[in-house]
Amino acid sequence: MKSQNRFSSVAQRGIQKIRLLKHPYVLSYVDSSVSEDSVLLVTEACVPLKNWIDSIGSNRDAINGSISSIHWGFRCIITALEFLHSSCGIGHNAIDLSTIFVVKDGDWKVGRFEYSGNPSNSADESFFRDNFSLVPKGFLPPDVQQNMKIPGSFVLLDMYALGKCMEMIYFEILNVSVSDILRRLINKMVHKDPRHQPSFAQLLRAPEFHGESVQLFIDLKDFSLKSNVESIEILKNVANRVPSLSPSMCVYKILPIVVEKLRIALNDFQNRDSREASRTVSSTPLCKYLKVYFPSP
Amino acid sequence: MEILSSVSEHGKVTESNFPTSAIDILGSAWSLSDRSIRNSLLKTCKHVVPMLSSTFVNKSIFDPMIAGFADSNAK
Repeated sequence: MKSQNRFSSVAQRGIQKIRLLKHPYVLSYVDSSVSEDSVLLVTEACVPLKNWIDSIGSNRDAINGSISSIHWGFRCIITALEFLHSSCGIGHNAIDLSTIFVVKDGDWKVGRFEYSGNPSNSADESFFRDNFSLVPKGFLPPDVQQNMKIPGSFVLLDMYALGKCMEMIYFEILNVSVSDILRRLINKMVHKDPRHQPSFAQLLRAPEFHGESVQLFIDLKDFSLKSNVESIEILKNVANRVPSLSPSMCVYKILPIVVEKLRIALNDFQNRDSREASRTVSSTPLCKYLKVYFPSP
Repeated sequence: MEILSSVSEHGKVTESNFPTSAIDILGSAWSLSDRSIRNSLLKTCKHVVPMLSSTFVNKSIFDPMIAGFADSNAK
């Protein structure tokens, strides 16, 4: 019973945290319910990253087709962690393949905030000390696992765990080649000396996270802010790349944008038709005659 | 329209998950009498129509398509 209460209180802590966090790459809270023997949390539809990676399988074509999505996914997580650290002043402290989730449109989002917090905050430090045995150990630095204590810097923990995720997905599970820059950055992220760890800004400068492979995703994210000319160029690029995109991205990310653009164009059509009609009428000889003999005041 | 057609052609969408908002837009587009829009719809209908129900095709596409054959007014 005491153990069950402990799990329940940890789960409720996670719910309290996730309710307060609003960010495009933090899993959205929908509803929750707490009863005597269970704690229920409802979020937006998603699958754990581990399950999503397993669904790609070992087929080389499927892996190659998902590479851009993986690069984009890691960029989402880097952005989310930067938000947690800089804007919220907390770390996630339990990043691994079960706390990162993939939503329908292909974005990756951080979830499960039971162990999030700032170890330099006394309440959080006390929580970590009392519940360290429950923290997922797989992606904790070796010295943290040995000392059984969360270090003072949550940046260190999250950066190490993110590096282990990248190492596992890129090199162990999918065995894909990455740039030398990213390879060096990942080695620094998982280095036993935390002073070697890169910053999030340095990480985002890796070619995989800002280059051509993710440019389409970046353009679609900011699509509503683009001018008409830019929108047309982006949509031309999308049309050329449809064969290589995943079905879920097509259905949940691209089609809504295309349909909205069509809706706006069709709504404007009647006005445009009226403008073109009035221009046509005003250029007829009769109207020119009327303008000459009855000029406007 | 080209993207809608391409997405359907390459099997990225099925009849079950084709957005209902897209179906409404297609109905509105087919009701317009503009030649350039009709031309675009005709070019893409081969791959888009399989995503639509027979009822919708009969109600919202077939009649405007037939009416297009009588179009003699260049806009």
